[in-house]
Amino acid sequence: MVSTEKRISTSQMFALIFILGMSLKMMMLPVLLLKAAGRDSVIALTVILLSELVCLVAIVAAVVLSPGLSFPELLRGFAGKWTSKIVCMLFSLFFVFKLVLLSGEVRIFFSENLFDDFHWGAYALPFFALITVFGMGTARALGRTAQFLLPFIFIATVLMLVLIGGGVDFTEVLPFGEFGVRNTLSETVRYAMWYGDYSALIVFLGSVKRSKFTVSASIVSGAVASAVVLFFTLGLTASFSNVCNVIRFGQNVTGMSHYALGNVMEGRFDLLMFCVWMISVFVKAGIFSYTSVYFFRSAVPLKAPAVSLALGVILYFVSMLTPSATGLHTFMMNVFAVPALVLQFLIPAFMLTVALAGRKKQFKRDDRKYSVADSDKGDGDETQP
Amino acid sequence: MQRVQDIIDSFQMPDTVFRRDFTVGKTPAAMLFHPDFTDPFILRSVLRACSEARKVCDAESLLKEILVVSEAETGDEKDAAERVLDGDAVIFVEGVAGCIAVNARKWDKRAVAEPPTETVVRGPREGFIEDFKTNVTLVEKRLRSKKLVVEKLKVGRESNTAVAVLYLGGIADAELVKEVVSRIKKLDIDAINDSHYLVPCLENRPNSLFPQVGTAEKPDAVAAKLLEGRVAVIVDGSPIVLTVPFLLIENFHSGEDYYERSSFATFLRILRLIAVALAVFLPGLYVADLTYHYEVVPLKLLITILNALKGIPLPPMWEILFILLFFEIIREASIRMPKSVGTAMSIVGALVLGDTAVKAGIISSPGVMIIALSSIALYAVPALVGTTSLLRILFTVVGGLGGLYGLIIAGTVLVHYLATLDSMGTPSLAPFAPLITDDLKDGIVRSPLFSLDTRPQSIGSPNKRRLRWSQPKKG
Repeated sequence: MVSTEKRISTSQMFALIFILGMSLKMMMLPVLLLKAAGRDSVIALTVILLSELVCLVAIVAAVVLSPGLSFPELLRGFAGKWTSKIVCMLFSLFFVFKLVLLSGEVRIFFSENLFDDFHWGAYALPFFALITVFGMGTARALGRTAQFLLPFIFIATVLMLVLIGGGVDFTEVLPFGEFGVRNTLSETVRYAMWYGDYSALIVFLGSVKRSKFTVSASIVSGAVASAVVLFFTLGLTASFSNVCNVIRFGQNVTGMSHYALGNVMEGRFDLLMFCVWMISVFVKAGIFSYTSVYFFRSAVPLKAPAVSLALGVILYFVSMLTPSATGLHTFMMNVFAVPALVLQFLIPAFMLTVALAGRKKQFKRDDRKYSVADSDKGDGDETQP
Repeated sequence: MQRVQDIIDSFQMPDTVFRRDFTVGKTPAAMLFHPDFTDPFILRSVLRACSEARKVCDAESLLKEILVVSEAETGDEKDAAERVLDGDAVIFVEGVAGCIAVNARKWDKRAVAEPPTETVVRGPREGFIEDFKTNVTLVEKRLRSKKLVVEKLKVGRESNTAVAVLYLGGIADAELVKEVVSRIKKLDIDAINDSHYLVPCLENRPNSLFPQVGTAEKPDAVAAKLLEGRVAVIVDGSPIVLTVPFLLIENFHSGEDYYERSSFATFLRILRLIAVALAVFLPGLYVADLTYHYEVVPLKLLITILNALKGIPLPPMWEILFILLFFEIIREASIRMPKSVGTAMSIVGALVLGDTAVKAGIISSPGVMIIALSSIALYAVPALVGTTSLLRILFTVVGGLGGLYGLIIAGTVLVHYLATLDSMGTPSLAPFAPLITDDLKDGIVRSPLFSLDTRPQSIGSPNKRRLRWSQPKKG
């Protein structure tokens, strides 16, 4: 029987990074930033994307340098059992909140763009079923899913880029600096919950089959995803910067694609493209779900199906209690902005630290092993006549 | 001879087996056989050969005399009853330990013919039949190699069905072979009537909607799979040979692909993929668009469809489900019906009933067209008809209840599920996820035969290279 590979490959890592880097930031974030910072939203998003890329570099370095152990294992060796459990619970909770935010974005997207009557009570069920299914899965299955779906997502993204690119007057983006640097940066901090998604890659620590392309492929993937996000933000800013108040709160970047891609006479091709692209958001929800379940199980050793089912059910009720998208956004901006900002930088730094510590430990162990082997050999030599 | 009588008595109905007493020289001997499974001419020749043997001191010397007229071997007395039920004639000689089993098998079998599910325009037309020996020979004839191993097993407490595990030593992964044999040996069942009885024990997820074991009805296809490092299982009484590991993409391959030009074979494979996508998603997409997303459909087409839908009492989802149910009934009935009635019934079902239902305003013509197109597309990949039929119903319901949102979620979950599926350790989505670039040469694209120089990496054969060929210089 073929030995089953449990680690993910570099190409799967590429797909995961592309999906994590792009999906959520292309939904509501550009609209919220545009409303808050006007044309300077482009600058705010550029700052966000650059900080994310810095985090990605740290994460990839941790992946490459890790001694093949998972994050909880490394953390246990580094900080002890109970600290490890507490940190894992904290991370699990962080990704649960990310999922709550993501579910809100999905709700807005479909209720505003595709359904006249979108009863979240009923429509949330398949979404949380998806979360449950992905939570039960494995890192390998996640990698394969992302890899298999990437071509579809990529084609949809390219089609949207090409078709929108021709319809937008990008000169409308300028001038920058009307909002002020300080204000722009403070807005960036307020929306911290919307970015820093690469931190979910923490679950793949020790499970990546490293090759000579791992670093370059990961960075290229992150850069491409950032470029796509930036392009859509530029398009949105160019289209609505003068009239950003006419964008309804729930309207997102599809509003921009609307006039550029299709019309009623020819059929709304753009909606189909956006639906295919939405696969990336669902896969991202799956990654968050898996990450959350993974960390919870690292702290409390329960079976994956039970934890994922519980997560799905709890999230369903939590999302039912969320009154509206506005309420959810306000909550995320007011309560979670600072913790999310701290965590999004802390996780990569933490990953790198424990990976380096684990690596150092392994080197020491190897040195000891070799020195014992050498001394054994030396003893042998001495006993020889 | 008491030991012969003991064997006869061990049968529930002792009359089942016949006993012929004779002498070898002056030594009494007896032959046991099942009259329904044996050839009287062979039995007569064997008896004559035995009688002509003047002096016998052991089973080996008698065996030499018998071997002149038939295949035979010495055996253990304990297996005698089993050998009789296999169609052998078993000879016992007084004072000689053990027995001689003579192959005197004879039963009716149909001729080797082209299998109905794997018909080809170009390529070999031989197909497996229900006879075990013929099936093994058909494969052996194509792979006259010292490496070909035919490991014979018996499965079924009551049926004692012969099962052969075929593989090429050094090409098939030893661990894979060990796993297949051990899984079959572990099966404790009273009887197996067909190779499909073994499928669940070769699958990691027997309840899955997707097959994890391949089936083939043609020896050329089985030989090709063995050459890729796969393992085949032949079961007595079944014209279907099982092969493992089995990848999802294999459903979209046909034996004929390798006898066509590579460009045309690739085109056919893409066509099959499109056909399956249409079969599964088209009804769901139609329902979703007409229920929730009118704006996706171009206006003129939408007006035409809405005109056709005028007066239809059922909403799109129920209408499509009704037509699907109608189609599945006609399909099932036409398969089971006698051929003479089947054609007439198909005409009545498809034309008369369908046309009348549209004219009566019960169902719409676009609905009928969608299901007709989807159903024709379904048969572009016959191996997946069961799976795609069920998925089509599922996606229709999902499209009707959740629109594009539901379809995308269901599609994503389906892909994730497939990503967790494997066949004897080989990922079902290979060579796409995990991506194995070398294997893409025979995935959706069928590269020219001479560029398929390595065996599929996903199968994990220890012998990687299958072809060395240098292109002749031009001019």
